[in-house]
Amino acid sequence: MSEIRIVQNVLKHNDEIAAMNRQRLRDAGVFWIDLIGSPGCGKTSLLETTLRRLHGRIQIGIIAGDLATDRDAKRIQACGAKVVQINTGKGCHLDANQVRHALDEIDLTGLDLLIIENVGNLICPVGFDLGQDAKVGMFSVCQGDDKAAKHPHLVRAADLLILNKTDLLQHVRFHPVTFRDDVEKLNPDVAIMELSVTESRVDPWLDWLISKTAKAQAQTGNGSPEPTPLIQGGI
Amino acid sequence: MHELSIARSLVGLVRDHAAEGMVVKSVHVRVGPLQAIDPGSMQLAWRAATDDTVFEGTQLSLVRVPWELRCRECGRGWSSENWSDPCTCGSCRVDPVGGDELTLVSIEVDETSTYSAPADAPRSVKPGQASKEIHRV
Ligand SMILES: Nc1nc2c(ncn2[C@@H]2O[C@H](COP(=O)(O)OP(=O)(O)OP(=O)(O)O)[C@@H](O)[C@H]2O)c(=O)[nH]1
Ligand SMILES: [Mg+2]
Ligand SMILES: [Zn+2]
Repeated sequence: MSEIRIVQNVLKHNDEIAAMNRQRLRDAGVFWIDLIGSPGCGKTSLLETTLRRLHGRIQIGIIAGDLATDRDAKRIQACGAKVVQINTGKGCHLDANQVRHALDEIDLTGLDLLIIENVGNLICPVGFDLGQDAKVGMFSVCQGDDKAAKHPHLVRAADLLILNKTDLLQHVRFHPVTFRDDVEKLNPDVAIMELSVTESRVDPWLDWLISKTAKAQAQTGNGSPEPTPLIQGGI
Repeated sequence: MHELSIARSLVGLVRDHAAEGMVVKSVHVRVGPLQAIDPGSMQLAWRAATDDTVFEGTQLSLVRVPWELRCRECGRGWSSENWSDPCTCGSCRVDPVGGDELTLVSIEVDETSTYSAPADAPRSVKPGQASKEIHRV
């Protein structure tokens, strides 16, 4: 019997394809996001609101990951956005290769921002790099204030966290301080945006998108580098 | 069940490293807590991914690496199963570091066996590629 030493990242192939995706979007000057959250936390609702509010301002493309239906894609299409749907079947997450094929179906020219709605799941999508510029983790107050602590991998991996459905704070037991403390311990650098999508309280999010998009374009030399924020003091 | 995708990737990597004719007895993987892998699900997924391949019956050995923690107040570092441990100095300002490891460390092979693969089984690729890295144990 002999031992063969290897020492290699198990998801090496995924990561290689992710790197190709990353380069492709970088060349096109498109900022892109992997949006990860549990089922029903409000991902599609956030996209609908974002598309409506930023209509005519920045060009947005969407990739919608869904287990079996095209309902999310239809909702997004109704907002007038380019959307590509990936049905994962039993798969609980998107991987870089699925996204590569979806990218083939999107015309990247003229696009400023691409958002991927990952399959509703707080666990499985986290470890799979798609090539995105930013991973956004989404929670909602209905799920309880312990969810950051119970999902340290998402909190650690996220570049931005959204806490949605804050309009329901008076109805559910959720202590924002507990949530924030856990996040602070796990990932001191990450910002938390408290939103209510249904009440259209999403301005910090929109400002963040506008500024990130402008930066990505400035790096490739397209677009206007001077964005005007919707509100002052956004993150 | 991201364990299944991980198992499939693992099969691909092992295939890259095992030369043709080698029987792979076991596969050794180190996994950090950020990968959120359930050991039971991972074993099932490995079985599912290797069924009807040349790796059917190959053992998967998972070594779970604990959290590496560092105290922000006194600088002490230690490892623990729980990321929210307070430090012995009394401070609760503790940073988890790392934790996202998912590494194929080694495989154990039997070169002497005269194993013949089922006709429909995927074949090992790149024969001989790994031979220079073989250490007798
Ligand atoms: N009260 C309240 N409800 C919200 C808010 N945002 C979304 N919802 C509701 O939450 C439900 C689920 O919203 P979706 O946008 O479909 O959630 P999702 O995360 O896309 O769900 P999946 O794709 O199935 O994982 C809908 O009934 C929304 O109206 C919010 O800010 N406040
Ligand atoms: Mg949705
Ligand atoms: Zn200490």
